[in-house]
Amino acid sequence: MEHPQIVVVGGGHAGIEACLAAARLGRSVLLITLIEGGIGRMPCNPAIGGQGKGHLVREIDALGGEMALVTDATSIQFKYLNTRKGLAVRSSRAQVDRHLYQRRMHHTVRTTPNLSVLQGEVVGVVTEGERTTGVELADGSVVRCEAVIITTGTYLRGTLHTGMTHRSGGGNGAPAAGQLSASLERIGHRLGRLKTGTVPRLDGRSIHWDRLPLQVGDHPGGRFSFLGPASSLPQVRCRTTATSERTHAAIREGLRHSPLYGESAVIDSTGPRYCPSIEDKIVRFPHKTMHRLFLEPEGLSTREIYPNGFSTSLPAAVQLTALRTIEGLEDVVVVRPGYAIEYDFADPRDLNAGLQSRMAEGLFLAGQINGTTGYEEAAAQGLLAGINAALHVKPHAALEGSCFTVGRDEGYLGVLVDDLTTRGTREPYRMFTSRAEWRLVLREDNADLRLTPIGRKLGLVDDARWALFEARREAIALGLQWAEATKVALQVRKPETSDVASAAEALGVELPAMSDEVAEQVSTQCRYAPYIKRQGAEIARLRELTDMPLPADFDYGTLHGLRGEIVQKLTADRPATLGEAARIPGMTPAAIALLAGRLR
Amino acid sequence: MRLSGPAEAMDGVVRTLLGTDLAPRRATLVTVTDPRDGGSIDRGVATRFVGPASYTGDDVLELDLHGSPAILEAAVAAAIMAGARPAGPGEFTRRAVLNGKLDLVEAEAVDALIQADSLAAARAVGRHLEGELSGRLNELRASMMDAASSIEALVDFPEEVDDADVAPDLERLASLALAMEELASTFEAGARLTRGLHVVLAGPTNAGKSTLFNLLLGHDRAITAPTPGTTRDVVSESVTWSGQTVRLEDTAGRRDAVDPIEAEGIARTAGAAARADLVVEVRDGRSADEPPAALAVATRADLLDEAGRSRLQEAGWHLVGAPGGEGVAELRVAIGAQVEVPSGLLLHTARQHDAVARAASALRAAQAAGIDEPVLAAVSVRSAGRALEELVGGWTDEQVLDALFERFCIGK
Repeated sequence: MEHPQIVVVGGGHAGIEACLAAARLGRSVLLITLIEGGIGRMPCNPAIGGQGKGHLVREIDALGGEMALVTDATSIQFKYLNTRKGLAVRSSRAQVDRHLYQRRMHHTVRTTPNLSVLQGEVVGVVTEGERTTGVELADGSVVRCEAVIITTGTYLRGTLHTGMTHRSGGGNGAPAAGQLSASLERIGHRLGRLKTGTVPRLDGRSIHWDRLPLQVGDHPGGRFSFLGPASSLPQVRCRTTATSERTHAAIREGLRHSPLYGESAVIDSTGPRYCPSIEDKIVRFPHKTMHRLFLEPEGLSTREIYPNGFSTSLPAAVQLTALRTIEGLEDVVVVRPGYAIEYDFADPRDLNAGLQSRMAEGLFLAGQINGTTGYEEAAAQGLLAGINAALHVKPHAALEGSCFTVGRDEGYLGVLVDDLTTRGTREPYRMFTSRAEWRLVLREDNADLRLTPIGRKLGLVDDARWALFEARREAIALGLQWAEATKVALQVRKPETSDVASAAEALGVELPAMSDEVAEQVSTQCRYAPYIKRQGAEIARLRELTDMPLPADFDYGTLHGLRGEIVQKLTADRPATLGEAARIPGMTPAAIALLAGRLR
Repeated sequence: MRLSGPAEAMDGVVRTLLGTDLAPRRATLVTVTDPRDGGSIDRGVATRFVGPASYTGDDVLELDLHGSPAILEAAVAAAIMAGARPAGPGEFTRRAVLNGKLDLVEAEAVDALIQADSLAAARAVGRHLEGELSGRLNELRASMMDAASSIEALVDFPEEVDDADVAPDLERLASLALAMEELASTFEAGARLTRGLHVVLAGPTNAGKSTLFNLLLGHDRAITAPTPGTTRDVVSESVTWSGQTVRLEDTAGRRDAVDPIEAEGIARTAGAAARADLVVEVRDGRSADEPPAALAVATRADLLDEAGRSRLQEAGWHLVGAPGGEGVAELRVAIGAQVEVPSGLLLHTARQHDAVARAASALRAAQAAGIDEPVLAAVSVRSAGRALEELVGGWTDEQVLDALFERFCIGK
């Protein structure tokens, strides 16, 4: 076989979107993964979406990615979160059948043209000078290529902790990639350690379901993809339960065996604050008398239950004792105990805005290896890296430069990559809507309006999707014109008539025929218009400062009052704008003020 | 003479200029020598402050020398020879801000203190320099940050945070908005205090305004004559009465103007009166009846008989008589009493007022959005945070998240 243009290392959610995007753009792609059957596996809970994450999934879809389509095809419960809090922050979440999801992803990967799969362990990136020329496999062979995308997730020097038992591994029984860490370090990437937790898996047959309340608020028929259709699988409902003082006592008792809190605590890396282990919650919030748990089914054909909210690295015996103090779980059987995993991540500030290495041309890093957490964050990065690797191999005529980026005002994908590559992260990075300054603009419902035209230009949006999109865009534009012409737009801004139908009724004008989706778009755009305008003015004021260019030959040494170390950093990093300078670690607001003063 | 700079540079200056090392913070008797010829310039006291424990945050050298211009000029030239350069306007304070010794609110207080021409103004802004205003703004910001983190928790963790968890924080938005509005409303008094009380004397021609003006000033500033229409332009002079600055303005008298110059003068009178904190209406006591304003002065009291005097006094007129200056001291007190000096914190620059007012209106918008539309509330609180950031710095979205994770146990 001729050597591929692009090698993708790792078949998780980042790797899949990366290799599908590159292959669909016509580049020859080889996916190398440790376990071929593990492509598309969901090592954490079998759910896609949630606050901020749902936004990412829709953006992936708008750009012609895969995650939303597979989620819709395999979802067994669909929910809109924040339905009462305004469309800007309404987000979707689906429970999927883990097995079906993986099978479907696997199938897509195996049947996509230009894409082949090799089972093997990549131990190093091969470079010539500053150029990436291939990867080295564990058997010593080298696969030559023009671009490499590393999406190895938590598998770099992964260490699993269950109580005082520690072993090396990549999670879910996969082996841990070892030498690759060293290879990245040789290239110059800075590595750090992060940790994350998993929950014990329970046998659903041992749970007293009848004692537990049903979770409410499902939206059967909901979907992620703008293409449709919604899931045709039977829909299930989750039940909830909660810990009690007895549970907390059992956990406190077991803390001395915890790798985090025990006398010989071994984990000192940083875990996410928003996804704390149950022992973390009990230590940090001692006044709380209960913590809610969500009992999520892993699929239609399995009895395994995922007790969301109970991630832990306590010894298996302590986990069982604590679980059995919980309502409904009095006789629970644990299929697999929970564990914490510590792993290497590569400082994403060593990447440019296209997720390409600043040290080795043609080397891309995407997904959890960049310090993020979550399938959605990984997949979004994978898509961006896949597109950029394809552009690296062969630039796109219609695109300026050879780097594809999304602006912070265009998508959560832009916020994600910009945050990572300019600020880095100290804990596993998860998307929140509060990270986006343009959150009123970046909505789930308009991801296609924001990004599908870009996807079309790139060549990732096929004719069928494009035709659907154009019809929808046209209908919305007509609806908005009508709303402005009839003053319905003004009426919608009043709290008592927040949608076009009631506004039209209040004004006594006739509502033209439009679908619910279009009516919702028109309502939202009218409603948010004044806020978006004010936000725009604020951000423009900010931009005026952050976009202020710093000349490439600027002599920072001539600035009186700048500390020596800051002069060094500025001279070494050569930020292009004041905004980039502000994000250099150690920069003080005063130093920025000084720079701004000089530039004016 | 004061010098500021990095330690190494200061070492050089001290050795060249004084020929000795200085112990930090110890006033030392020194001889300042001229590096050009080694000759002595003056003997004086030198004190060195080592950064960051100094005004600017860098090393600071203070030289107390004999105050002749010749000595000063020679000492400055010597310092420049030794490696110093002349400081730009406000540069020491700017350095202090850049080095984090002062925030912008405090730096504005320094400026206002230097400009202050009354003790009351100095006292009011002096409190800012001691960090009282910054402290208050930081307090409000911290409270806003809590409210913001609550709203964000409600939005970003809908399944784990209930309306009830954050209701107290949302209710706080109203009181925060009120606090901001109250603070914004102090600007008028603050500005008045720092620029001085603006008092305009107005009235018909030949009422005796210019005579009264001179009496109040205590010297003959304005031309006075029995001819109506003598004063053609606004004549302005500042005085300090019992620790308060007053800018007193004499104006052209109101009548149908006889020529275009006088007409322009009368138009200016109207302008001055519109801008004034206080308009004192002046009338000739011999033709005065009902007082036209809260503070009305009847002049030429010395020409009135006893009955006329008591009639006017009963009607509420202040009586003033030249040439003895009868009633002038009382009138000064009365003018001062018209304007109360507030005792609380005062905003004293337009920049402060603008930012606080914007924060207040954004908080009102957040309050209106409330729990029904938390995303609009969140966006608005963020605007308020950004506005305050312009004054005391340091509102980042990351800090909102930090506050959120401190307070809520979140995560499945």
